[in-house]
Amino acid sequence: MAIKELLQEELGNSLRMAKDYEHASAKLLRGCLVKKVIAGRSYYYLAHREKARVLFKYLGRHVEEKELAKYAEAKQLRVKYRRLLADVRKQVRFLRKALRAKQAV
Amino acid sequence: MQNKQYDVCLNVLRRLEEAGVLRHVVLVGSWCLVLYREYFRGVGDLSAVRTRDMDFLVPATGKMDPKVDVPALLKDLGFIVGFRGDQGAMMLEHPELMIEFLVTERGRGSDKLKYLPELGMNAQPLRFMDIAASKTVLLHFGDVPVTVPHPAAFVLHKLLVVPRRRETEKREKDLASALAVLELLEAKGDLPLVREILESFPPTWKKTILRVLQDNGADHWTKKLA
Repeated sequence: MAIKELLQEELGNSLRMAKDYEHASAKLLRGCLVKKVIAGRSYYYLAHREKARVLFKYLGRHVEEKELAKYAEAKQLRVKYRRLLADVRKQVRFLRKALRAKQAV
Repeated sequence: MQNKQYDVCLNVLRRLEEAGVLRHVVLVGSWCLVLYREYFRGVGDLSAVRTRDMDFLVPATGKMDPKVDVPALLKDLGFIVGFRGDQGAMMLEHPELMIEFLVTERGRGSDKLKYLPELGMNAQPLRFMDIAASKTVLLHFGDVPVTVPHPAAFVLHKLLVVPRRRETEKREKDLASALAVLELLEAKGDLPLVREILESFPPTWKKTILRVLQDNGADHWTKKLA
């Protein structure tokens, strides 16, 4: 069995997968809901990063539970996808290295 | 097996079992070799060189109830939906595992994918997949019971598709795994079952299988199976 071809196939899979994770991350809801308590009252903001700055957009005193859950899920998935994308990139580096390696005689 | 991959695989199978999907599908492809180690325990060892692809065959008769949105079921494990090929065959991707669903190609065949609304996925039709589902065996992956083709059906299916493989490497991989399993079937005394399944095939299939063995230096098997 040609291991080289198997590794080549896996490299193709990993490269495609890295792109798919990038797309999936980009499609997630942007930002993170922040609850600020000022003088005993709650205020909700949507925090997101624009280049080096973190911006807070005021959303109001109340946000629906459904909306909160959506942002919480997006946050969890963003963290997960980032970690998995790092794993895929590590695989790509490993596979490229293995494919470049000289074969033992 | 790598622990990470084993854990992801086990998690996926557990979820599919709890959702009631696993009892309707058959695990096919190179992952079967991992489960065959249980079947051949005490007989011999089986090397399982495989890719990350994990394929599930949805038999034609399998009516699934209740409906399960498989991409949503596996989303929090980090699986995302990817599309492969010109037709856009759906695949659930994870750095450790790539899950795909297959159906049997019938009639003249076509490139068209079959949408499986009961799973929220589409499936690629492939030839001869009925063989894999015709004789199955229940084996365990960890604590999860998984239906896989009986090793005898696995061998005959692999041998039948060898001439249809375009890539030499895949052809060699199929042949090597089929011959390795065949050796173990003989050691376990299962050759009569292989012969029985082979006898039930149409003459052209039988001829193809015996010719593949003959053309690839496995002539002794031709005599044992004919």
